[in-house]
Amino acid sequence: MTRPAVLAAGVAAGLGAFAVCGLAALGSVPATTVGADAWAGWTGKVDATAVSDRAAMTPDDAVAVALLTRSAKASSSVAYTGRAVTWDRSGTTTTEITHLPGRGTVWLVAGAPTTSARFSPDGRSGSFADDGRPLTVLRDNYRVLREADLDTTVAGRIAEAVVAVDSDGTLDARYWIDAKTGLLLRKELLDAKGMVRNRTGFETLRLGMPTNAVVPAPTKDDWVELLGPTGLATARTHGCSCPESLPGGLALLEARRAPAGTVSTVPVVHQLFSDGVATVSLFSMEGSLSENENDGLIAHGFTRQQLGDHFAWVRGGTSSSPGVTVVWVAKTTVLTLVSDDAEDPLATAGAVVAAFPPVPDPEDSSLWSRIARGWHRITGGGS
Amino acid sequence: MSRCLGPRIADLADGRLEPAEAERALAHVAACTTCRDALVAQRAVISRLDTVGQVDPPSELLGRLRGIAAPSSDPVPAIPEQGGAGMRPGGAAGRGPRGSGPGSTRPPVRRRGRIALAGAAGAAAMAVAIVVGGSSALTSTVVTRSPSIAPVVDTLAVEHAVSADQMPFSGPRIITVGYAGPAAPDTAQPSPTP
Repeated sequence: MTRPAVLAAGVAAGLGAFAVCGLAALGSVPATTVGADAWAGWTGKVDATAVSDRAAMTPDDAVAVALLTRSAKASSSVAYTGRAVTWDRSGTTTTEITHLPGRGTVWLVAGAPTTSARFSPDGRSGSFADDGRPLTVLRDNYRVLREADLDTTVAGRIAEAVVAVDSDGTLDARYWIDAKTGLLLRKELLDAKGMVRNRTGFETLRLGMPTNAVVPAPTKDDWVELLGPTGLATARTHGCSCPESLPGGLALLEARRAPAGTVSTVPVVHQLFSDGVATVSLFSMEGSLSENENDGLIAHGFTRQQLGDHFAWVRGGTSSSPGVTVVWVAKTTVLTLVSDDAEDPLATAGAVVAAFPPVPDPEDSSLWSRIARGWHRITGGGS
Repeated sequence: MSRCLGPRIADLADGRLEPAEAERALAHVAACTTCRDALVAQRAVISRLDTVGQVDPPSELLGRLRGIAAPSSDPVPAIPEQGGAGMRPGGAAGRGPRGSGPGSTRPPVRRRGRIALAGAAGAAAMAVAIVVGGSSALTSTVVTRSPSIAPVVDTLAVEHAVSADQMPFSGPRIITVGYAGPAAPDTAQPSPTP
């Protein structure tokens, strides 16, 4: 071999060795840079109590999303009868549920006369089960994760667990979904301390319709008029605030309108909002409250309470009755808010009232009465 | 161009003009920079005042105001609960008839000084009273109320339950209207250990 040839062979061998070393370096496990000790004790399982770690770990779990997507549509194809128990700090209710896809759902409180049964025709709100909006809202506000460690049996059926974690890593909700049908079998909502504040689930569940099942014939629905963007825009021209969303990540899921002469003497707009875990209803009626109406609210258990900087009529919101109904007048509209499964319904209501502040009482709006009130306070007659 | 609106700017901002007059005024405002600026300023003031909450006056200020009233042995005039005939928007409040009648004479200079001082104190007190009393408007705007309606709260609560229970991942919920079954003890249940 000539001297140049030897030199060329040497250079080629050197470059080859460099390339091999480079590829080897790129493909190696960077154990020396990360440090093997960082993974000491790693078992491959997530500590269920370390919610902060879990929150920092991942975006939505694809398996959890798939389970919830299937669950949202399950009731549109699965008929069932069952007994469900709902518990919150106000007490426990057992409900007999009969569901027939395409017809609706009958809810009857156990032990109550059948005449008190509530019938929700399919499509009433169930239409949203098909477009996936509740799940979208849930994922907008929470991270959903599959939690196989929580899998169990509910009503004798194998249930797969999914959890919802909020942005700061707090576990807010747990869902158990029927492995075979996708039906939601149990749900738990938790407070900031990790305590269950609301639990609902089936005690018994039977698929299909028993031969003796009686489903009431569809009755006239006062809230039959579904409002889309155009309908909401029209309602706004009649004084309805008709917001697109409410404070606290509450997104609009549905809007309906009951014409005048059905629910009330004036049209009533019902907007249902949710953050994916809690639901809030806002009802708008053009009008005001007279002394007679105020007396009626008192007779229905309402008291005048301060929510933030504003006063409103409030029922509930106590430790024994956490759900609230709040009534106030904003501009020319009587607003009624119903919140029964939010973690702090009074805080939720207060934020909404602040967003649509009450008008002052008529006697307080004139300059003279303001001066008189102010003078009264200056001279020590007032608080 | 029509004449500037002048004091009617305040009425326009307050919505106290008749519809036809308001239309004419707005048409003028659209073409008149001066009135437009005045209207914007009026609305800004009203909007700002609308956001002002209840204000507790400083105790020092209250003390001074009381001190101003103290030298006089006359009792502080009572403010009637309802608007008096002499109260007009625009600054006529508290202004009595000129002089004291046919036989009145001008007060001496020192007395006039005291009157001026008392007047200033009264104006200050009035301003404070407006703020303390809740200053959502400086004008005696009459709030026009819509017809009174019954809120039908129980019907609405049921409607909430019917709608919410149909939502995926929701319901059945406890309805406080009507039969609700036996109540459980008022204690939070611990989260089950996974």
